[in-house]
Amino acid sequence: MSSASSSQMGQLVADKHVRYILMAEKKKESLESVVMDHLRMNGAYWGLTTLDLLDKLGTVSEDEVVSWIMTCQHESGGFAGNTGHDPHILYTLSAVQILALFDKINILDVGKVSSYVAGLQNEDGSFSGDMWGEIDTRFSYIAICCLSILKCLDKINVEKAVEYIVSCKNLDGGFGCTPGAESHAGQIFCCVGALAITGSLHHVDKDLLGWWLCERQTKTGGLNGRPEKLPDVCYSWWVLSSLIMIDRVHWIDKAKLAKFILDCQDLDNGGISDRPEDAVDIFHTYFGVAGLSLLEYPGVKAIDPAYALPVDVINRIAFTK
Amino acid sequence: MERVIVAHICCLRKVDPWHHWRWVAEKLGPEVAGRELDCTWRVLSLDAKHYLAWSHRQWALRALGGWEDELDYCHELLEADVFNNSAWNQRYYVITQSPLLGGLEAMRESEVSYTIKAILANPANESSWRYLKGLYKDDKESWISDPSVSSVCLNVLSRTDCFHGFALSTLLDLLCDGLRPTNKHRDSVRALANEEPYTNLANLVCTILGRVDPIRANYWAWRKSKITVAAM
Repeated sequence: MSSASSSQMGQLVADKHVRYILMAEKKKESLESVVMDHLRMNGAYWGLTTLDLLDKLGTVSEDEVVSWIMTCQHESGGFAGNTGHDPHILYTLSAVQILALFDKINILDVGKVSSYVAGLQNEDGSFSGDMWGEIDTRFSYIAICCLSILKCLDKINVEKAVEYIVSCKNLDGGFGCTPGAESHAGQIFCCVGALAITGSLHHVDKDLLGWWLCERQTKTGGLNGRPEKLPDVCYSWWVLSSLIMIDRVHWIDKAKLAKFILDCQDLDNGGISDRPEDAVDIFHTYFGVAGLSLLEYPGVKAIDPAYALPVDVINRIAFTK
Repeated sequence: MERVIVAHICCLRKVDPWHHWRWVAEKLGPEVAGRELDCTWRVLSLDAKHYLAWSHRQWALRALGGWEDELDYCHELLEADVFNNSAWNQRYYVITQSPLLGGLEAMRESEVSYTIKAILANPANESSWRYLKGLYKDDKESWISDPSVSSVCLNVLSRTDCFHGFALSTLLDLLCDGLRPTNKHRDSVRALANEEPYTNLANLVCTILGRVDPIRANYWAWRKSKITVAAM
């Protein structure tokens, strides 16, 4: 890479991204909005967390968001992706995370929500996503992260949960969705995050996994999620946060990664895409900004790599009660 | 028919259908093994790295059987794309989990031979090099003493038409695990050196790696710092 290209690193067009997110929120009748209707809760988490990282959370109506969230709560205590849909652990975590952003966890019946989540643990320590029973280490992370925020980790069998996660560890040091499944950066983030939150990182071979993770960086500077896949901005989060949690982030070229993320911006209309020149979306906008946060990009608040929430939000939770 | 109904329900509920198919198949029993494998085959023929399809396929083999043709299926996929990491992972899954094969140690020789062929055809393939190492799980002695492992590294290093990074890092691992280098090893590596000083072989390998794989320069510098006397 020539020094000329490194000095051409773009800027983060933060204001454009803020506008993009606020406009997306308003376009409820758009095709994209309708198709993604059922995972609105995830979309809200991505959008609102990005706004907070850019210090613009105040631009949305807290009351509107919070009251909509509560309409998504099911009688079981779990949250759905949108009003009238079925509850799932995925949306339950997003709901709790959004309430944490607004410092409104206190409006929850914590006992009810935590019982819903704890009730999804299976005998082998794994977690199901909902009553239908799908098992995936993503759900282990979600349960542990959610219960930790709610300070109810003691409601589950943490030892068995850790045991199940460790059973999904592969020879390359990575983790899959179930025992034997291919190592995947997204699953690795979930497993490492869960182990970090439960104080169980000693189960990770940090050198071996660190190498697997740093091998995700392609010549473009971007990161992929598995060998021989294309780089994608979302891995800027999953690979990077994993590397930070195991103290190996210095093994990637941070400048090249930052440049890759910045090159994925739509400089005119805001938003970030999976790779340069592609269409933007909220998902990649969040992961791009979160990745830049982990890279300590100026003007972006610090994000906690395990909880995927701004550090000041996590500190506030830690010092409450 | 059940699959169509499940697909409709999942579409209405906006949920991923894989788990629901599993739920239905479990109720129907092992006679649907062929159908489940066929279903994932169809998805993988459109996207051979589809993560959920592979997860479902592993579940189907475990719960319903049908292992007989799985190794051949992996081979088919690798013929089409030797860089398909999912297929390499599945191959490993089969040789370690199939009740019809003898387990990792029994399969090692044939699999090493298979993998070396794949490496020589495409030395810049991360998956095949990792797979090779995986065949020696928990058996460092065999890993460093098998001449075919060391010689595939030397073979690749002697070529001028390919990326040397994985051959070098594999050689580095061998040295750090106790391989005693011969003059062949030293000469092979020295031929790639650009006037870099020779202190010890593992050290030189790390230096060259920092040059041929510069994006991971910090990692190779760390590896260099960890070289013990034994690897010299």
